[in-house]
Amino acid sequence: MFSSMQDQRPEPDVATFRRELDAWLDERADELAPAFAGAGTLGEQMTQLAKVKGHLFEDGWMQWGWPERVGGRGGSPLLRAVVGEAVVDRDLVVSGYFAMTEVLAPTVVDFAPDELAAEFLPRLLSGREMWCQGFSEPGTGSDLSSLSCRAVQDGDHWVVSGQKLWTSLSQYSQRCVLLTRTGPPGSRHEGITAFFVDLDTPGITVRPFPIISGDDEFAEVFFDDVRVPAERMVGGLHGGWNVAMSLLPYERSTSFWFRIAFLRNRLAALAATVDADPHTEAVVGEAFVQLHALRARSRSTQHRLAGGHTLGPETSVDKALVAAAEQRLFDAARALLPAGTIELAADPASLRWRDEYLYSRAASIYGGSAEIQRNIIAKRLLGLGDDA
Amino acid sequence: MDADDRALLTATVDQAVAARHGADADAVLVELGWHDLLVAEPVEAVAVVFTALGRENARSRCLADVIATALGAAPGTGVVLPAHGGSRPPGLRTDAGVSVDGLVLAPTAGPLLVACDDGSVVEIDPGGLTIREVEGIDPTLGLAMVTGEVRVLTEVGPAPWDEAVDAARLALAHELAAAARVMLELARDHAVDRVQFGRPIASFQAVRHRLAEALIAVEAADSALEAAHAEPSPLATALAKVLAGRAATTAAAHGQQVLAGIGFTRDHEFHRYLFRTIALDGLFGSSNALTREVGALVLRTRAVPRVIDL
Repeated sequence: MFSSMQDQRPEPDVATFRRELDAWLDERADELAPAFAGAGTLGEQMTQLAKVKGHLFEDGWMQWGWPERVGGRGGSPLLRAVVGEAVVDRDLVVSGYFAMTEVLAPTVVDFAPDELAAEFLPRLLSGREMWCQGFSEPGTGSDLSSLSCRAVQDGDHWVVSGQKLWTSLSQYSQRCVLLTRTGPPGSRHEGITAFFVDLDTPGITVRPFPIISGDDEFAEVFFDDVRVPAERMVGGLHGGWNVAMSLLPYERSTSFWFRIAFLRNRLAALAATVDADPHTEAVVGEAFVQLHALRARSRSTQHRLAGGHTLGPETSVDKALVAAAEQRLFDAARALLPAGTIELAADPASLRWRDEYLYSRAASIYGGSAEIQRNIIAKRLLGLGDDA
Repeated sequence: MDADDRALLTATVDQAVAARHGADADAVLVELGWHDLLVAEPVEAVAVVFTALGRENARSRCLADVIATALGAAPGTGVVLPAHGGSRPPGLRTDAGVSVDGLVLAPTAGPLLVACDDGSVVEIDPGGLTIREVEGIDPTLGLAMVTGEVRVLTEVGPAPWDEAVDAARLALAHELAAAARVMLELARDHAVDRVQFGRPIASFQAVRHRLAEALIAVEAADSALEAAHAEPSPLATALAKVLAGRAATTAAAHGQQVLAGIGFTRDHEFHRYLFRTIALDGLFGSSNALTREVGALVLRTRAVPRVIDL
């Protein structure tokens, strides 16, 4: 019922939406299934991601929760969370790749001119394009406001020079949401400007390199006098910090909901693999409890967001809980899976456990490290004042 | 009950319980209409009252009222709780009547309700039982152990014991979560006030991260309680109790380390919350026992319940 683009009915309630989406996913199960067994290569996963998003877009599911003025169908962002949860529940896509939309699109929707957003958002939602996030640099990790990739005005263009690092999946991407230094060096938060950059612009070199599990998920991106049209500035001159921070509500809510679906999925897979004894019950129970803590927290957070609250430093609690839940689960997998599964085996299912175990170590690093989250909690939520 | 009513109720209950300074809060709560409220609005009443009890480290027999009400009796009726650590009905039907092994809160002379292993609930005369006041880690809680075999005074009927367990766990989860937050606040205030090496110890990252860790656990417990109210189920309630117990353990561990010397005394009120939460965690299934139980459920069903949806 919600699957027609022409359907102008009001926003569906979440439970009904989920039910109808599940029915649609059941009906289209064969078309949506991956063409490969196990985890697949990164290239296969990208093709699968584009395929699933394409079908979801074609039948109108992907557009829910995005504003109508930029090509969406309106409604609460909760609907986006439900779509991601449903496709991850069915193991159709890698949650982190599906979540790229959540960490990229809000900047363009909230800060780019409507024409620009309306032109490009549908391409991202439909899987015709991938975008990447050009934030971190070799000298800029947790301390994002220290970034130094420069943009200098030259007529109606800005000329970008510098390097970005950890720019995930940029070799598959057509656009980049790029943070640049437009103020003087040392201008910190005040001197940062965001641009929406075409990655085929002359002067851009993308060099993929492998993450710890072996996939070329990371890349470094070099900008050598890259000319970016001034109309691709997003969020105004020196407005880049606001742009970057505007991602947090979605990166810490909708996006986590996808991750929770993934973790549920994998905990169920683990439980299907191991035999029950008191030790196993305790370890699986721990993983479930941590996951429920995260799910309950994320639900509250998303309802606050949907209810019009502005999310702030309290989402650091959500981020800390994601790291705890993910690492607890894959520690449990390593402890409980038959000996040799993670260490030695080479079948697709075992390789997947190994990749995911290795990947889980990043959960306390990306998107603001566990230590940064605790710094924020201490200062902003507990009012402990400045640190020493 | 709308938001304004709830806010008014919360303020009234908080004030009344706080005025008792940790002493017996039953009289003041009954005067405020606790019994009627528990019957009319059991979920709201439990959330508000047990949060206040946890915050104020107050002693009461409210938990017995919650169980009695869930079993269909009037609040104020004496009731036997399961033995410490367990959730099984405290009564075992025998040829002579009923064999009892459990706990009572603030025992009185009147008859006691006992839920039994065969699904019945009966009334007994406590006169025939051995009742021994529990000193234990938290003597102020007012618990007594009851054991012995007595004849049945009245067959009350079938007992919805699972519902009673559920109601008790929810109440305890609120009390534990509230007490956990107080332990964190006590440590937080100490860290801000206490000066060493010429600056507040709250400025040291090691101290800050401990307190942050405690807040993460306390917030998780509150969210789990919110989830248990939004989509009630025995599983959601059990998970809320686990996470509230965890929050208390985590807040106690980090809080006591931050409080350091003063947290290791009975001069500072921290110890009262530590003792209370250790004692409460063991009622109706400890965090550890319930964690194993939910783990066993996942392994038995080979499925991970969503528990709560958006």
